[in-house]
Amino acid sequence: MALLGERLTGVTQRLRTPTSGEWADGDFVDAGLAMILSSNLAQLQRESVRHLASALGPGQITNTTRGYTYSGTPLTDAADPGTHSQWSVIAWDMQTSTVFAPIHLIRDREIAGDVPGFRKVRVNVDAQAAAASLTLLACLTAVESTPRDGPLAFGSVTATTGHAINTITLTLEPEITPRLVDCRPPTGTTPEQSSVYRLALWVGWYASAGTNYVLSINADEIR
Amino acid sequence: MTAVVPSSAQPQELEAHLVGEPVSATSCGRVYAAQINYLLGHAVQHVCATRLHALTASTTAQDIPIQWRPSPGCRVAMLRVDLQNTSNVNLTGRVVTGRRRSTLALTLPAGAARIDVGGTSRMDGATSLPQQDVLRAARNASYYALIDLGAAGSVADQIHDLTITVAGYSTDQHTGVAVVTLTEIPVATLRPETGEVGILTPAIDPRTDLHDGDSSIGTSVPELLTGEQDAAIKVREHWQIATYEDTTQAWSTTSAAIAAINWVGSVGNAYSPIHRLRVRAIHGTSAASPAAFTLRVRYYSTDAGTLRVVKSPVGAGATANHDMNLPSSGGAWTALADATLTLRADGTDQEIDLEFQAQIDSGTLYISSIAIIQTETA
Repeated sequence: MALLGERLTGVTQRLRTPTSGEWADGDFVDAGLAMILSSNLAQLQRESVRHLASALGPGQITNTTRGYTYSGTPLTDAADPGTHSQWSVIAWDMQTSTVFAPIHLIRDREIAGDVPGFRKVRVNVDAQAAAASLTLLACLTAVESTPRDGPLAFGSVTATTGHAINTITLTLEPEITPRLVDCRPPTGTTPEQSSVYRLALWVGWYASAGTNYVLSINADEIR
Repeated sequence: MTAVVPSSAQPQELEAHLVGEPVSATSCGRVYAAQINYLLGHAVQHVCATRLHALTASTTAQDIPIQWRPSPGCRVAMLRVDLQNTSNVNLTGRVVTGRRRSTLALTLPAGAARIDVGGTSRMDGATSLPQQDVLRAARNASYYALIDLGAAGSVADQIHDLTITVAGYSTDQHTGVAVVTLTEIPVATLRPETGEVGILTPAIDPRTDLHDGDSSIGTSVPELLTGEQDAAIKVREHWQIATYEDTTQAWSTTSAAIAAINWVGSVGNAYSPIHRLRVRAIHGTSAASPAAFTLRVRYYSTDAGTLRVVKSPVGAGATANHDMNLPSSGGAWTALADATLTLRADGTDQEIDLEFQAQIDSGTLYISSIAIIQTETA
């Protein structure tokens, strides 16, 4: 059974349904009409993915020091690992990255033979890059964590030369624990709480040579 | 009585509907209700996550406008503000100078209120909020506020302005805000009996088929139809960027012809950023049936101008312009909405590239916020 519901064959859009005032003749609802309602809801569940972030970039990238030094002074809590790879390419400080948090991920991505997975996060970065010199990075962490603690999902890409959109898709594979958060104003002794998967989305950059710009950052949920 | 909101999509097969037969309330009606409640109560919107540029240290208060049309299923939203990093102190001999402490204040939509947990709030405009030292990696000075949207209907169903004001604490200077994130929190239950959206599952009698009737019988067909339509039109995708509402900090143009906007900082108007977003295909992925949006802009001018949205569905080839006329705001910041923007969902992976350009007949057009909010009709 399809997790997101089944749509009518060949139908990839919501079909108009009658307003409630058009239904008042006392008859039962037959399957044909109900199928339209069911197909519509399947379509809406498919399309319920959300836009997560939209931002202008930092502009020209000047962090040829990877953020591990600032004006020649070592950072207080981020020692240069010496050997740089994956997420240790940058220090993830404010001159080398930005963080969007919290985001609440939803778990409705169908995986054959397995429990539903988390929606993926697609990050689109608009950049003006010199040849093979701008590295773009993105990762998901717990809200209280930093990428230096080890990200839950990580991706990077060498920016396309010239003015282009560069895409990183993050797939959250680890099992994470949902947290209970107040979802209504606290009144009385029994606050209503909902269970959410709360994460932080980090986007980073590192320019090794040439003139490079990060112009915009956008992120969407996909499946 | 409340309706439980599932935390994931709900499966359903069309085989459950036997053609020509009445539809079971148990196998169909209650599934519909769960799907509607999931869409309206759990898949609520991520309203805003945007970054701003650092300011030269100053004591001047700066407003940051966020545009928001709250989801009707949301009762509480979480706002996080990351302050810019800065050198905390300068030591000159034994004298400490240049401390960087800020205050944050909120101007909320009418009907909404700040939740002061334990009687205190970080964003009350008075609490001293230290900025993070620039030498620390990966840890921002982040402050949170919960926003109470009240009972159903307390906040009008329209696009609202939420203003964040950052200022220096006492005589301290601040360097502005780095990131603003506004997230609607999913609810655990919906309460349609109090006027909230959603479907009361117990109202669907599992012993019968789904059939129409008058409201006193409560066979729930009208409720299901209304719920499906609510799920289609009241879960509104938000896209927006924002900056300081100040003519020395906002984006601007002085060009009499449509041209790149000055986005401030090292980008200026030398490059025109492209924003790629995914369009919800409520009406399908045909170029002829695009999704409907409201384009809302906050701006300042003394003459008429234009904001242009250059729309390029990814991989679809064609580019189209949407021009929004901006009459003179009379030298004051104002908001203007245009409900005629459409975005095609026929691009690769339903993605579209947007670029913003502008012109002003004379003087300078300043822009502090651009929002695109889905506005569908049933």
